[in-house]
Order: sequence, then structure tokens, then C-alpha cells
Amino acid sequence: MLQRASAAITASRHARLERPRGLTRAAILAALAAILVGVFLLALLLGSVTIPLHEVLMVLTGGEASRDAWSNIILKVRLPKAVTAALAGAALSAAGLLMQTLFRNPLADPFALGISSGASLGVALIVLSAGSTSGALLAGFGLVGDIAITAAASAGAALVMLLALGAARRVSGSVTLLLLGLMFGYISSALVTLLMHTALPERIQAYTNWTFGSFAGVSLGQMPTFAVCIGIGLLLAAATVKALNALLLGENYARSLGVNMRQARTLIVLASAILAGTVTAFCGPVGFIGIAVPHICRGVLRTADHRVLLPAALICGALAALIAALIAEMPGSRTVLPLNAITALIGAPVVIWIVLNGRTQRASFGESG
Amino acid sequence: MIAVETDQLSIGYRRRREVVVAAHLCLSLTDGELVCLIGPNGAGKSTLIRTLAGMQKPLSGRVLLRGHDISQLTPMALARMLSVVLTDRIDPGMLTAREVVALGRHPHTGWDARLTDRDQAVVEDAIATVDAAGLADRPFRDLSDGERQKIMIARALAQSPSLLILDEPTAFLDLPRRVEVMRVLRKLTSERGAAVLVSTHDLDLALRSADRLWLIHPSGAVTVGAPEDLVLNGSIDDAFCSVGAVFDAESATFTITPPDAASTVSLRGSDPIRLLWTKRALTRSGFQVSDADNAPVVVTVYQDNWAAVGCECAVYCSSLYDLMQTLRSWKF
Repeated sequence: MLQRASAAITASRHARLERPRGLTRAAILAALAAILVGVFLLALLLGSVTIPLHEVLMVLTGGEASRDAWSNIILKVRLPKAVTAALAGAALSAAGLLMQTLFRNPLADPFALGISSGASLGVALIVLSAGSTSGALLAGFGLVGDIAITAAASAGAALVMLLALGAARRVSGSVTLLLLGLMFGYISSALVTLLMHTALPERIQAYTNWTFGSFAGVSLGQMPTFAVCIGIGLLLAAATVKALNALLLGENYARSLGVNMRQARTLIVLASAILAGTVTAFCGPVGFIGIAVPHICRGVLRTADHRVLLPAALICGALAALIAALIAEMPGSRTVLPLNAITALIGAPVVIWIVLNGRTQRASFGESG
Repeated sequence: MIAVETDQLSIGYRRRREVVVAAHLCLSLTDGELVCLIGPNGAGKSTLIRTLAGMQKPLSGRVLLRGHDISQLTPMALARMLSVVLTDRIDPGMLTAREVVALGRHPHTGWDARLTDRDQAVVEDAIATVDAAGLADRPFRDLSDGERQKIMIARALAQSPSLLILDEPTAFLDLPRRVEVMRVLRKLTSERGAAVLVSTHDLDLALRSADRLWLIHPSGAVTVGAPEDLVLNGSIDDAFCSVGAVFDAESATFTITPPDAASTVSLRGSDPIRLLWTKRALTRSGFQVSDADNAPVVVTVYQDNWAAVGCECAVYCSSLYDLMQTLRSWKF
């Protein structure tokens, strides 16, 4: 009795001690969310022409801008693009976080399962293989071509997702899964190389453009599909949070804590495959955000608790993607730089910093990681 | 009450063909009992532990946890009744020791893993039980091996199990840390009435702490009994005997048997402690020690030196190291 009472006292003291830390984390998340709102507005302001803030707010609240062109630019171009960037960044970061914890590997990314390889192969088959049908589809690389590419990428990503899910249910260790994903990546890049070898130069150009990645490809009509798919993926990801925390102790301990590993692994693979697959289908293989953002979140929030890390990854991911899109846009000019060049230029130094700095990485994955 | 029992349990592996490690085991473990599972390397300690913990399927037979066949329990139901401390080295990222212990509440929390006040109290209680209150707020990765092991035991306790299984919890720990871990486990059985099964290589510690031993022989047979019973009936010697090592029931340790053609040394003296350590030094150096006076060399232990007489000379040595050097040089 006495023991229990003293335990209760210690618990309440612990709760008091714990609160400031919880507060700090909440404060950091709130601050990041505020910055996200700011950058989101900035993405609507800046571009080839700069639109004043009050005009943007006017349009967003349902009013009319003082110039018709501005309303059009904001509603038809910049808003879909910013929403796409935010959703894609959040999705990639969440998927990256899931993969890094499942594989306990700091270099795992949303495409560790070979999702983007599958999508690339799908797109390459459509774009590169010579044939009158695809040639007609891609005439002028217009709207129809865009849809065909999205469809091909979705099919490729879905195929790999099914393969990965099948593997996740069968293999006993996650490392096997990682290795299978890697091997599938090699196979599909080899096939793409073969296709490129025989393809016409302009087809190769079209394919290369797709691999640059872009947040501008999601039209208003496609937006609901895109958003719903990512919403489903994020809900599934949220459902894996408890298992992810148990997985921090390794698969054996997770099992001993009652985690059904096969089921958990399937759910984690399904969530990240939907997230990475959707983004790749609509935006191309956007790299680096998914690998770098989870590391940034761990470093900033100094925790491994996925109940904190997942929301942080969503906010930071959206932020990173919006910033990358803003820079790629080169505000004030008419040039648009390839998105993947920008994400890599931001992402690679971060990864290098993580590797050299070591502390966060070692702290998160152990010396062997 | 019986916490766990096995019913005609056969354990082993299904590779290309079945490899039976032990067959037809009927073992049981009651509440408030600390059982040490001992046996030489390769006898099947880990296989038995893994099978009892439900991490490996038995070849045949059943494991009954409070009367429930564990193969029929869901992972969650099993986790609420049984917790384990494994030999896996863990890297829980930036979690603090307290957060690692709190993960033990996993089978009792809802989908979002939120801890209720009661969960918090159980966590604090587990930390207090292993005397780790001072470690709780430190990052787990900064702890020493001994401290980590305490936290892992607290984590297992936080799971509120009715049976605790520990696989080699004292490996890699120095002697004081090993004794501390066993003391904590004893406390669990005596104060909380927990049932605890520990596998260990540490025969000495097992003999001193266990209520009962499960002794696996290399043949796969398991002998059960109080540690002292197993010493007296020769089971320990039997299971562990190998070339060059013999269990000395008097000192409860293994002694290295001297080669057959060892030279004999007679030992005399009055101080029992000095005699004991002199005997150890002689045995280690490959001499057979006899109490009779007829050996070719006689060593007399004095209060601050040693006298060796034989081979037509007599030498006084100021340290055991000198004495061993002298005796070796005589080549008798």
C-alpha cells in the first residue's frame, strides 16, 4: 500500500518534471506550423510575378484581386502547386520516417522498397518505347500525355507495392525486404537503360523531364484523387505509430510486446508504398526530402517517439517541399529549375552533415547503423 | 500456483530435417520461485528459453502458461502474461531510460500508446524496484551495460507479467553487477511473488541464488532440483564434466585437473587463508598438492614467506611468484 502510494507520488512528480519538456516539443511544433503557414503564403506571393500579400489574402478569402490575371495565377497555378508541394513533402517525409524505423537504417528512404523504380519503369515503357499509340498520346507532351504518364507511374508503383507487400508477409526479417527493394531497383534501372538505348532523343528528353520531378503537374481536377490517396496513406501511417515505437527495441522485443510483426510490417509497407507511390505518380521521383526530413525532425525535437516525430515530419516535410519549390521557381524570373536538383542541393548537405556530425545518427541508429 | 509448465515438450529446430534438442520435457515453475536454467554451451538453454517464451514453435508437446496453451494465445494476450529480457543489444534512439521502461506498457495501452496515471505509476514502481530512479531521466544509450540491464528488467516488469523470462541477463557484467541483478530478481520473487526463469552461464551465481535449478545435460535430459541437491547427487559434475575440468564440491567451482604426470608437492602451514591461496597457485602451475610428507618437494607456508625443501636444496621465497619460478626451475 505504502509502496503504491509512494509510486503514485513519484509518478506525479515525474509528470511535473515531464511537462516542460512536453511543452517545449509542443512549442517547437507550433512554431514550425506557423513558419509553414508563412512559407505557404510566400509560395502564393512569389513567382514570375510578385503579387502583394493583401491581394493574395483577398483571393484566398473568396474575393477578387484587383487584376483578373492575379486571381487566375493564384487559384489555377500557385495554389494547386503549393498544396501539391505541401502534401507531397509531408507524404514523402512520413514514408521516409516509417522506412527508417522499420529497417533501423538511417539511409532508408521512401523509395527503399523500389516504388520509384517501378514507377520509373512504367513511365519509361510509355515514354521511351517507340510506337504509334504512345507517340500519339504524347503528342506535344500535352494534357493527355500527362495523364498517361501518371497512369503508367501509378501502375508501376502499384505493381512494386504488391510485390513488396507479398514479400513483407512472407520474409521473416526486414533486412531481406530492404535487399529485395534494392535489387528490384537495379533490375528496373537496367531495363530503363535498355529502353533508352533504343529510344529517340526527344523521347529520352521527355523521360528525363519526368525524372526531374515537379509539383506543377497536379491539375485542379486531379487534386482530389491526389489528396485522398495521401490522406489514406497518412491515416495508415498514424495507425503504425505504436508499433513503430515498439520497433525501437528491435523486432524480437517488439514481438514480445505483443506486436504482430507480419501485420505491422505489412501495414508500414502499405502506408509508405501508398504515400511514395502517389507522390511519384503525380510529381515524379522527388528525392532527398524523404531521407533528410526525418533526420532533421529527430535532431530538432531530440526524441525517438513517433507520436512526436510523425506530426513533426508532416510539418517539416511540407515546409521543405515548399521551400524547394520556391527556390526552383526562381522568383522574379521566367526560368524554372529542375525540382530534384534543388531538393538534392538542400538535402545532400543535410545528409552529409548528419554523417559527419554523427551524433544524431548514432543516437538514433546505434554505431552499427 | 503454477505459472508455467510444459507437457511432453520436445524442442529443437526444423531445418531440412528435424533437429531434436530435448524431448518429452515435463517442467514446471511456481509463483514466487526463482529458477536458474543452467547447462554447458550448446546443450539447448536458448532453445528452451525461446520455446517457453513463445518465440519458437515446439516440435511437439505444449507450453502451458497459467493453464493456457501459449500457441493458442494472441501475441497481445501472451505479452500481458509473459515478459522477456533478451540478449539482443538494443538502440532505442534518443529515448530516455524511463521511456524505454514505459514501452513495457505497450500491451496495456490503446492504439495511441497514451499512458494513464496508473500506467505511469506502474512504470515508476518498476524503476524503483530495480533501484534505477537515478537513471530514469538519462538517455538509454548513455548507460553502462549493468545500468542498461537494470532498465531492461524494469521494462519487463512494467509489462506486469505473471512470468518473467531472462536469457543470460548477467553476461557481460562484472561480478558486483551480476550479484546486483540476481538480488533484484530474488526481490521480485520474494516481495512480489513473481515467477522468474533465468538462463545463465554463471554456475556459481546460480548455485547461490536459485530456488531450483533446471540443469540441461548435453544429452538433452533435464534434471530439476535444489542447487545443493544437484551438487550432492553429482548431477552438476555429470553435466559439465569435460576433459581437464572437474567440479569441486567443496569450493563449488570448477578446478582445472592437473596433467596425469604432475609432480607432487607437500604443503604445510597454519594460516588457512595463506594455505588456500598457496594451494591455488600450486594447482594452477600444474602441481599436485598432497597433505602427506612423502612428496619429493615440501613447501612450508610461513607468515611472510615460503620455504621450499627438496631436490637437495632449500630456498626461501618472499612471494608466490618466486616460489612458482623456483619450483619450475627444479624440474622434479
